[in-house]
Amino acid sequence: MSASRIGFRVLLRDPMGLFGLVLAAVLILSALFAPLLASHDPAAIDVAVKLQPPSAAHWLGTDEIGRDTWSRVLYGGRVALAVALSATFLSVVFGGLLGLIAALGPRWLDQGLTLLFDTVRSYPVIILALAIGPIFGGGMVVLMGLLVATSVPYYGRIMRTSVIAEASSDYVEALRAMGMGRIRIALRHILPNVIGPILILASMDIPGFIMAEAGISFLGVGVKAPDTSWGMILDQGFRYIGHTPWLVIAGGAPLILATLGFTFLGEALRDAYDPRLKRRG
Amino acid sequence: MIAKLSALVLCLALPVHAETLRIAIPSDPAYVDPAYFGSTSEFYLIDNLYPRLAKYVPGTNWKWELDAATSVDLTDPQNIRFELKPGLIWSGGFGELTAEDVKYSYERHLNPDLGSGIISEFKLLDTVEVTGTHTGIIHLKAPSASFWTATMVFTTGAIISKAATEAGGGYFEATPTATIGPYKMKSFEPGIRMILDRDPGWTGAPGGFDEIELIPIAEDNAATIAFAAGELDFTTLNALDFDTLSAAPPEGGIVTLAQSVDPFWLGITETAPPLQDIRVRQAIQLAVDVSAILQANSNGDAVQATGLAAPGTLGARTTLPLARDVEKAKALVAEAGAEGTVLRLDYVNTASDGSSSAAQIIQANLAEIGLTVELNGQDEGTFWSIDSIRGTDPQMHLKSWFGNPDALYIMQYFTREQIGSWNWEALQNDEYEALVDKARTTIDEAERAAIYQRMQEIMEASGDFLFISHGTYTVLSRDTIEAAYLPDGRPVFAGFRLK
Amino acid sequence: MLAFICRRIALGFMVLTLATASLYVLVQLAPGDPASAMLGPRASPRIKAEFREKLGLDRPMPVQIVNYLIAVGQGDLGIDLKTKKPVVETIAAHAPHTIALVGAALLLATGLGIPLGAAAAVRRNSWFDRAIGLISVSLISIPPVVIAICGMLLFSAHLGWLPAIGAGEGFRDNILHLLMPAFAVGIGWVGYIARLVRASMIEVLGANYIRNAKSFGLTERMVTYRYALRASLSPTIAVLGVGVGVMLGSAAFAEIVFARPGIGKMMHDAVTLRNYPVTLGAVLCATALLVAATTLADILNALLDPRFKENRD
Repeated sequence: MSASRIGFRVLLRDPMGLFGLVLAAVLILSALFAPLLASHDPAAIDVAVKLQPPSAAHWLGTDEIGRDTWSRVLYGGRVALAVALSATFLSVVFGGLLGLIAALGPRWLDQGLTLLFDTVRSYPVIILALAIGPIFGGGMVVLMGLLVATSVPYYGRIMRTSVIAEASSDYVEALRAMGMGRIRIALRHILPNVIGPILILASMDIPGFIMAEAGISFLGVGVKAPDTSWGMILDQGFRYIGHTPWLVIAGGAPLILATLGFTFLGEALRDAYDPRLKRRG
Repeated sequence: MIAKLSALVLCLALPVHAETLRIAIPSDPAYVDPAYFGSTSEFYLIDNLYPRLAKYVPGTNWKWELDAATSVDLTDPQNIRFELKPGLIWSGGFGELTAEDVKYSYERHLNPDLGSGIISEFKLLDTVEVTGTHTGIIHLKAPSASFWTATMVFTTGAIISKAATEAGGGYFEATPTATIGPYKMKSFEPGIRMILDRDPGWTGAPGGFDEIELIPIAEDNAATIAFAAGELDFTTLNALDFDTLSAAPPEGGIVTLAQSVDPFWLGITETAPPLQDIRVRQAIQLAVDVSAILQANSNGDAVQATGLAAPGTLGARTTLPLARDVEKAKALVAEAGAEGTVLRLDYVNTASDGSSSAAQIIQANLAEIGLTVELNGQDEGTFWSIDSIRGTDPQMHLKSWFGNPDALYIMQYFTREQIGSWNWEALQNDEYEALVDKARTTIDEAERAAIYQRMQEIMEASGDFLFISHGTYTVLSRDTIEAAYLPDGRPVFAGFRLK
Repeated sequence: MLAFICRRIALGFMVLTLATASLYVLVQLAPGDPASAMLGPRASPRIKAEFREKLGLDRPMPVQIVNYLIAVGQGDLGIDLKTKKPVVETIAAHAPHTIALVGAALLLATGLGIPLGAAAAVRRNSWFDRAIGLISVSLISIPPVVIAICGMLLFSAHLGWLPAIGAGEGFRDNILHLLMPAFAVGIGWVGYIARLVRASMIEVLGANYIRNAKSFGLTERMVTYRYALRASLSPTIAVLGVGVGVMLGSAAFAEIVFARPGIGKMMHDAVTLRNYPVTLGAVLCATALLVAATTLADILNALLDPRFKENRD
């Protein structure tokens, strides 16, 4: 417990980590309070003011049918965060569960699961999303399902490795010698010890998910109108670049800031809590 | 670093012959068969590579000139006599163009086994009589004023080689095997480019370029960038770009506005389960904010359409366009008990007619009256491929068709026979079908105009059509070329010249 | 060693087989009747039935899977429903462009990443080190899509230095067309590799045996390059092996933005047309590339450092 406090202090002293923390906080807060911070309904159409640069009425300008870009950026942040955080959460939970089962279960189950992990890990994620997504109608649910499915093996393997490694430490052997059941040991003692590094690795995956969602929405496969996403704004921006550069900026800048923020934060967390993790890349 | 960059710049002599013309097309062609073509690219290829008795010439008015025919006798509107130019040789070694080819090309559409998509156009065709190697008579079942201008001279009048088609088992691919004209197919790399080069067997006036490169680029924006980077010489873009591009043209670019007669409309399929109640369809017609769509796509100068016939052409309606009435629309939806219905709207998301903006506006408009719209934006090739058309169940669809100064050309497709082909709206109206037959055979122009107007009235009253506008396009061409295109922006390859 | 290599390749094949089978099932699960959607215009019910029979779509799934696997094993990936030519031909026309792109990106990542990381490790905690660190993380954070778009707008449309679309003709032109896409795909990895190399080298540089080597009179330079750098190669190779998968994804974006032929673009086009054989073939090709990359990475690592075999999870 005090280790976390110390870790947190170290984090605060690292300027990059602090910067990342601030950016991530801004993103999360703006997503949470989007309805309050938005100046317009993100779906409200007003063709008379289409493709305008920033003004007092529209802080980031408007898109090709007059929707307010600032509001759309805010709501797009909701989508980005929702996808990234829930995909991470689900991947860790399912992956961790499977990894735990693989580590504790019989050998055949372990081998089977490991093979399954290797197989699913060999799907190139984006390619799969581009190929399979539209076939199943596209949309956020399908996209999330794919992102989670392809990340589960990663966490599965890590959990499995960590549990196996931890299981050979002295204290565990001592507990076994005292007669405590394997599962009990795993849940009460091993798990709390290994979960920390795994969560930190998970936090470093968040930027990847943000980028994946943006890229896929850019191609029109992820989020569908009237919902909005940074990737979608980027796509509009690309199409109407001759008319205004502001849509590209509005779509690209939050994306860069969000991935930058979470990357800095993740790295700083890792450095603060467990420098050994650096070697895993 | 600077030195390296300058070296890079100097090395950038693009390996392009000065005699290659590079034109952007919206997608790869699929079947270059006059019976099945659908997408713009296929139009371009069939227009330019297959001969016709006469063709429309580049310019701002729809004028035609003889092409494969050396003379045509139109005095008898029921029997068109033609004489072909001798010495027109099919590429690929398939011999000379003869009247047999003409007979084969047109009569094949009548064969029900072929399932030709343009069978409606040939309804009036009785037979093509071959009177000599190069002469023949096209016999119609009844006299017609429009068969010549609307079908024969237009893309649908394409003549194909009987020998080549039979040798290929009646099957066409994306690359035409037998063509006649200044250019023939040289190579095709799907997704990359199609190259046409000079046909050595062509004895007529040569084209201005040695090679023509057709490059598939889906998005207008990408085409503009490619043009600015010097990689394209000619492309057609959406109307909205006209103001920005003419204010700041890309280097070497000439920007012109082309006003076409292409109708752009929202089709509503009356046989789709959620749309079978006419009140729902009428509600949709009343709820859509057409003026917003026009404003989004044209900077305000577009005019709301009253039908498929463009203003100024024969049979254009003189009534006011449908006015928006949201309250009435809501009432109709409530009456029909259709609140909360989910509908699918298909459209080409990269189309130059502004479908993408229109689709989103329609989605918002219909949300106002309690209908939820799922947008299904597709790429040009998919949307227009006959395979996918026949395989899906249409509900609502935004599209523009290539227009024709004679609107009958388009309107004749909305009959029962064309359901499952081009009659996506599934219009089934006896009076309408009778009028189509009558219009085909009416010679008097005033009478025909009245018939066309009545037909469009029926279309609107059926609830299956919401007319939006007629296509305006921005044409972007290089200042070193003299571009040659039809009034609607479609390029005529043989007409391009270096200045 | 040979045993390890054989085992590893066998594992690769097994994984690829499983991936192929599961992908086939996944594609077939899609809603809609493939026969109606995919057939040519002359589709009467009789022809549709023939088509289904020919593709074996009416047989039970396990039989279909086995048939497909056998066909793939023989190099038959089916017929491209759009061009009516074998899928293998379509893929053979597109795949080299993607491989070139990913290869160029890998080259960029290692060519810039390794030296930068090494330099940062040697000058640890200096301003140079911190600057490299900052730049690395920044590079990782910019989505390849954004780089691709901005690059195209700046260097093609605005400055006209580099070509905008396509793959070009002829070797020199191909390289020119490759520069920006490869940059977009690979630049993030420069940062990744730099940080990885730096971290590994620092760890090694502080280790005991290095200190001992120094005390034996070996120069700083020799120590750095012979031992520390070599030690950092292992994780780098491992990361790059897996990274090929991510790069294939980024390559798809680059191909679509730059209208560049390749598997990503081909697949994007095929999917919308419900051209299942091509879609499946493309995903298979990408998966095979990834499996090959990871297998190769593991084998390379084992060759570099025999202890790797035992340490491997």
